[in-house]
Amino acid sequence: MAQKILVVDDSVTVRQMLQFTLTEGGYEVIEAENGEQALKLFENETPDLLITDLNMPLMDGITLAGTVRKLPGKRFMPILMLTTESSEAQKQAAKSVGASGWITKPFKPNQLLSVVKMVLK
Amino acid sequence: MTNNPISETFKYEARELLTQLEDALLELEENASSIAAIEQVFRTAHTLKGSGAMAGFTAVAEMAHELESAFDMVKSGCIDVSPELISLALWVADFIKTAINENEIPDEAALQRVRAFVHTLKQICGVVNAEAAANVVPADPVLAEAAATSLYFLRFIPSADLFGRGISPMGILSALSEYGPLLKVAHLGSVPALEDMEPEECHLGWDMLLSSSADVNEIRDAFIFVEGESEVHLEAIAAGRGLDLEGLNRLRPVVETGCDLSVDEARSEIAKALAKPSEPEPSQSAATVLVHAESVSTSSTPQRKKESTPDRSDSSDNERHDFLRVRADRLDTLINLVGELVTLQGRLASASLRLHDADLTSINEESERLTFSLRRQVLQTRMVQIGTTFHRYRRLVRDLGQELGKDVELITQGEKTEIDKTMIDRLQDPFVHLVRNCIDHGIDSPEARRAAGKPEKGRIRLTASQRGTHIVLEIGDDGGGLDLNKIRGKAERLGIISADADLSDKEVAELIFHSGLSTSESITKISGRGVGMDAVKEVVQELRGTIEVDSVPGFGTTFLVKLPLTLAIIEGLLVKVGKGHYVMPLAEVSECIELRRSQTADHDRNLVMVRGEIIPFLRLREQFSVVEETPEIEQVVIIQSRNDRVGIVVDKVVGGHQTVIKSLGEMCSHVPGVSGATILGDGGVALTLDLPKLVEIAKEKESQTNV
Repeated sequence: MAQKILVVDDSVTVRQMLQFTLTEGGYEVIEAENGEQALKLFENETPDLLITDLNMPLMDGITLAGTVRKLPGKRFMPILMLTTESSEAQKQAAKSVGASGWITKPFKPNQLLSVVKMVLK
Repeated sequence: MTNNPISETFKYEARELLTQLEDALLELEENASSIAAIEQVFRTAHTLKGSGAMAGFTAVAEMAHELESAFDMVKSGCIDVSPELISLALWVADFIKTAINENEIPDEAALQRVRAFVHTLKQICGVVNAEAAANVVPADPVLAEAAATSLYFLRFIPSADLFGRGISPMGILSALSEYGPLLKVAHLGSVPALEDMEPEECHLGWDMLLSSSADVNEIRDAFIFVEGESEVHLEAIAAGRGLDLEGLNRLRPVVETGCDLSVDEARSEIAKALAKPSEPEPSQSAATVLVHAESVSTSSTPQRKKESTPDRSDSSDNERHDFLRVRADRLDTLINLVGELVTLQGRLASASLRLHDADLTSINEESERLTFSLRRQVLQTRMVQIGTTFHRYRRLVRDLGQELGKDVELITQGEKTEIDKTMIDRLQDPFVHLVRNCIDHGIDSPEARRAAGKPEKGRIRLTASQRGTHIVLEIGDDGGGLDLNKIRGKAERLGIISADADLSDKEVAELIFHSGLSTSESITKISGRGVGMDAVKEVVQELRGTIEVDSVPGFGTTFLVKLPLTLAIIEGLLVKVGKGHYVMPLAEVSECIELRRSQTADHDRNLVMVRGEIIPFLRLREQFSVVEETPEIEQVVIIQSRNDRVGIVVDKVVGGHQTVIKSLGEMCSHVPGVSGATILGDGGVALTLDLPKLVEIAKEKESQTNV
């Protein structure tokens, strides 16, 4: 069964790009617009990887990552953050709430896939 | 052309359009300078072109394209409407009529004649060369030959808490093996005895030899997420002297002994072994066999599991139902009648409540049940699965892609989402336009896509989903995104915005909905010349929907269309201010709270605190100049509009109300904040409120008092 990736970004274009690329890479993709929607999805879905944007309305990516990390059964789930510029401060903030890594926008499809492959084994 | 449903739909549509076209042409014959008529001809030709291409009527589309080109030149003031032009246009109309009525094979000679005529016009205008400059294919970039490989020594000791961040060292090791043959040897020395083992911590470390053509920085990428906490050592020990896996394995014993040494010592040991002429070394210790097996099985490519594009499977969904073609206006009458019935039911209910008659009560209950199921059923007759329309776009996408030399595929989601037929019909032209735009402006050439690391095949995504009481439609491409500078530049040139306007990227992108703004520099047959985006927005707004554009450089552009589920009957919240009743669409209401006079006595700002959140409000009483006295306790209905929460202050919240919306007619249709009216159970009238407009007013007022 294909591994499932939850993609969270308020930009539908970014979600679309992620869906195209990840589907092509053989993954199953589910989408959410913001942290709140994403958390709701966790009630019924068990994604293998979470990819989330940082700045989103209602709930930002850092809060989402931190909350997900504390959910039961999610201690070891890889979490990737989408950042626009990978500033050291953002990296540290992401790390401190338990994010596995980050992808800097804009990225090329193969860069995304290699990072995803890396964290998903 | 076969008699498929698409061509039938097109024929039906084309007949209507041809009537409009003829009317406009005849008007032009009387008054050659009628701008409205010129616009009408242009728009009709444009639509015929688009739908014709979509339905597979190539000849019709081409004819319409020529006509559109001719009238574009008229529009730009380059040529005047001559009697010759009008008779040519009428002749084109006749040609199209024959083509659709008799499914006839297009007469190449006729097309040539029209083309020649329009070509002459173009020469007069000097635009003839603009269309030819498209298909210049640059030479394939020559891939640089792989550089000689080098040998790298790596030591990786993960931090103990690595797992806690969801990172697995195996992922990093397999990422490394993507760079070339990799020899991995695990450090087992620091693994504690089983009873002392902390299973959530990482106790292993690795020494590795990697033979790769990549440079140090590229290889370091594999460690980006662990840098800082984990010990990572990476350096080239033999430039230009890469080894294959077999050669690496010969060095295994040296690497194994190096595990217990410091980095420097281990590295010099390996360098020494490299310098010696190597001899086969068959012995392998048990500890490393495990890792060895792992190191070989890595370079498998990800299995390509294609998402099943549901174009074929769809046919199986279309089970054979019996269909009856009913004229749409009969259905509309039916819905109106049901609307009246719902209103009447409301009156019956309030009468039965007042009269306390047992018989009447039971009749009322039964009637209520029937009325509401009738209403549901009738509304259901108008709902169709949107998937049926997706089919048309697949054809359009293929044909347009071919024409532009772009390989494009359409990916659709949510075919089963049901949407009001009226809306589908109204949205058809706008959506053709959006799809066209995506292909023409959105998707870049195969060469550009390759350079951006994208697959050559462009993708258009069309999705439909139901969110609450709304339908959300998305049309997006995975192209380069909107060129915001170009849009801004053009808007400035055209005087739509001033040069120093402070606009966010989003606001600049939204400028494409402004009439007359189109960034395409060359005119292609496919996308418009500024017809379109404004018209698209207009249609969506007429359907009480919203359209947004989202664009990300390098990722593409997406249009988001949000529409109400039904047009005719909505769930409303009935409120009262003074003696008047008002209805708000319940879907937009998030909660109701009380507002005491004392809460606002100490300040004159229209703000209220709700669970720590400050919410601006608008008094309906002030907005509509209601004179009756304000009650001691008012109600605040809090509504959610996009990302804003705004309160509307009313005297009393009455309750839910099945609202049949009636339009107000010319006289009152421009009152800000009011969208229509409805008839109440007692025969009275309530105004339906235009909440987005009210939110706008409330925010504006609050920001004014703020300064």
